[in-house]
Amino acid sequence: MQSIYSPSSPSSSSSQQVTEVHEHAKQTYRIAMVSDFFYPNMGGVEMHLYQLSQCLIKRGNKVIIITHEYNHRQGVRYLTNGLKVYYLPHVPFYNQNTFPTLLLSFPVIREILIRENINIVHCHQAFSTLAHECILIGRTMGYKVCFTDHSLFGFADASSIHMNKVLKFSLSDISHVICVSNTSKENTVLRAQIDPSLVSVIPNAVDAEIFTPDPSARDPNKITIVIMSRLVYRKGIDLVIDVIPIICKRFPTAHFIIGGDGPKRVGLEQMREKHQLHDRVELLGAVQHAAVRSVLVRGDIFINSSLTEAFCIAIVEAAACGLMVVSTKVGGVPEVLPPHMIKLAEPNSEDLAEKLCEAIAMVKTVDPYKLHQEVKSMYNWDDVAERTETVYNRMNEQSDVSFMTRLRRHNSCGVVAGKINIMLATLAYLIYSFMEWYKPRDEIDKAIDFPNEEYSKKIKKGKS
Amino acid sequence: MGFQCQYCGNEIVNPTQKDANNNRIDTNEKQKWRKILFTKQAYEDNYTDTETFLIELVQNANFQQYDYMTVVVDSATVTQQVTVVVLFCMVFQLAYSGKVGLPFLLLVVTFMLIFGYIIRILTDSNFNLMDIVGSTMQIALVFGCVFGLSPVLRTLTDAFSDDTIWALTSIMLIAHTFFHDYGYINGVDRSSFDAPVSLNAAIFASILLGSRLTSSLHAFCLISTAIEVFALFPIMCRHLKQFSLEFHLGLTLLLFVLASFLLFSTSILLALVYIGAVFITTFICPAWLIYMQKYKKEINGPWDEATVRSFQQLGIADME
Repeated sequence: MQSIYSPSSPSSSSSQQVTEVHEHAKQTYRIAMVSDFFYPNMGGVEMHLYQLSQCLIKRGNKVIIITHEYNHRQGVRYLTNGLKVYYLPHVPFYNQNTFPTLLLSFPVIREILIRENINIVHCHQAFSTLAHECILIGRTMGYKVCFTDHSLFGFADASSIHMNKVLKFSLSDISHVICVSNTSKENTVLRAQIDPSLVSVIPNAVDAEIFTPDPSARDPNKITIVIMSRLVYRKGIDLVIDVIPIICKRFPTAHFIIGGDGPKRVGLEQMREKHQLHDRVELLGAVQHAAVRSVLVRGDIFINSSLTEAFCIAIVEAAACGLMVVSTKVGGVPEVLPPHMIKLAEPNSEDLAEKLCEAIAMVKTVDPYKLHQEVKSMYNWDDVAERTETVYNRMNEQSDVSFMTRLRRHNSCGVVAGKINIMLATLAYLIYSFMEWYKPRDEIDKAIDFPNEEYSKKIKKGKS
Repeated sequence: MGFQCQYCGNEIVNPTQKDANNNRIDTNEKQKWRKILFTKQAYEDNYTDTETFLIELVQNANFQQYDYMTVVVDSATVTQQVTVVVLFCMVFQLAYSGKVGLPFLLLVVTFMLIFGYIIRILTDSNFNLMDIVGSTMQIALVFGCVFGLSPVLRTLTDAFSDDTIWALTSIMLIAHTFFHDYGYINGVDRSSFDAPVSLNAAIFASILLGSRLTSSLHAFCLISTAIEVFALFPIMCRHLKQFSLEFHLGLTLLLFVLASFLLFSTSILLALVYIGAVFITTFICPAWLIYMQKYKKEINGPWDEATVRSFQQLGIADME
């Protein structure tokens, strides 16, 4: 049973710049990014989605974002450069995740995908229930579906076992997977048991225009050490609590600035109280995303003590601001920065203290602007967008698969699980066929694309 | 000066170089793939380096090969606990059926307490005079409370029907055996007995059963037995096992014989079920565990969350 209705194929448009000597047809795509996590929530995945979408729009693609409502922020909103965001009226139930409806969001998402004439569905983050649902919906409707994984998972505890099984189901029938680091690729391949050639490694990036150094903001008489993270166990705050008294004793000029809030804040305050370090340890509380840079530039050194990290954007932001980085050697962190920009420590208090001492000894020899230039050349969002487009090209070359092939792929998940997955995929197909009869495609109004080229021309004219 | 093609005379851009043994040197050799993200490498994004992919994967790092006899001996703890539960039920049965009188029950309670304490004193070298005095006071307090409250405790679940009582008690005692802290008895390094669910379930079961008895003194005897058997007995067992393994096994055997004997006098079927259960626990389950060990597949790698023991947890004083 072939998929009855095939989605619209991607269009080739001529190159944007008229100064090109010969026209080369560049594939542009109409992409739907799906995730539970988006603005107004501020975080790694949200920033990644936003920046990637903006860069893809700049390259001539059309991007929409599908997410759930945030505090009654419902319906369609437009962000910068005409980035259209659909805030679905699904209420989040835990940790900004929509309540898993299995297939009840099929009609709404089908209508959005047809309305916008989408040809690629790109889902983000394994935690997001909406992303998993859209993988199933997208594949049932015959779209090419891509998945980006932003975090690492273990294999031993109950939640990981469950999540891995769900991931195995979603990734058994997917066009391509993107991971943010090589360690993340190994982890994803093991968890979902997929072919490694189906997984691309595209790192995150940092907006180097925002994160610029400002050595004048530093206090020249002190060595300021900045920690900026949520104060939870997972971020290794216990290590920080142990290390601060040691360093303060050894270096009389050391000064700590800690930004962020969480359950471990009490521990930090207790430590400060116990060692009488009120003038040497500054607790800022939760820092607004816009104010992060102004806190970072006050520091000479940045510590990241996380116990697990797929790709740590925080250390790249800190390096872009000209800080020397000291981090725990976990997850994908060793891959992110070259050895002369980062000191890696084993995840225990003694080694972290030792590496921090080494960093303090050499911090005054570091040129912050040089660090910034290096980071700027290593990581930028345009490069990420270009590599993502390469992935889309690769997905585009794959041929459509028949329904039976999809069922066979789903069956490979396990002896019992395979049968359940087949039932789910068949149910999805039945619902899809029903919706095609109940509300045919030609009855759905096509949305008008945001006129990006005219808009950017007007902006340029307005500026000049 | 470049190389010239000997046929057409054009300049050769990338001539094939040869080493001393006249073998070709590939001058355009790709840089070896490195596991880094900060430089663009001459490989596709979905390239998988077959040599280094998943090289840090470690399987079954904490694998412990179990020895059959060790597991059998260790399973005596489980047998002991099941036996103790059975004995408790037998005590209730004796009191309920009226086969034994009140004085005998009181004697049994007192005797178990004193016997347990003597064994504790003999086997635990740290149990000095101060501790004995302290714990005697505690015992007096606890049993005094139970004695005083026994009328209340007896009528607590009076209104329940018999079937409810039997069903609830069974569930509670099964829960007790499931959640019991066997590690403590087997000598795991822990200072105190830590199994709130099992203890609560057992005491609740004893209160349920106590309501079926005829007088509050009977209820007092039963609840005291429960406290001794479920709360104090594990402590004694731990010290006994640490003192001498033979005594521990001897005690288990003694209790097993006593329980079987009592069960035989009540119902032969139950006795056979009990003996069968003990046999399975002691001989068949260890064999099954060792058989299943070969399916163990624990995966560890660089993606695991690091385990951190902070100084506070380790109890290390402030470092210099």
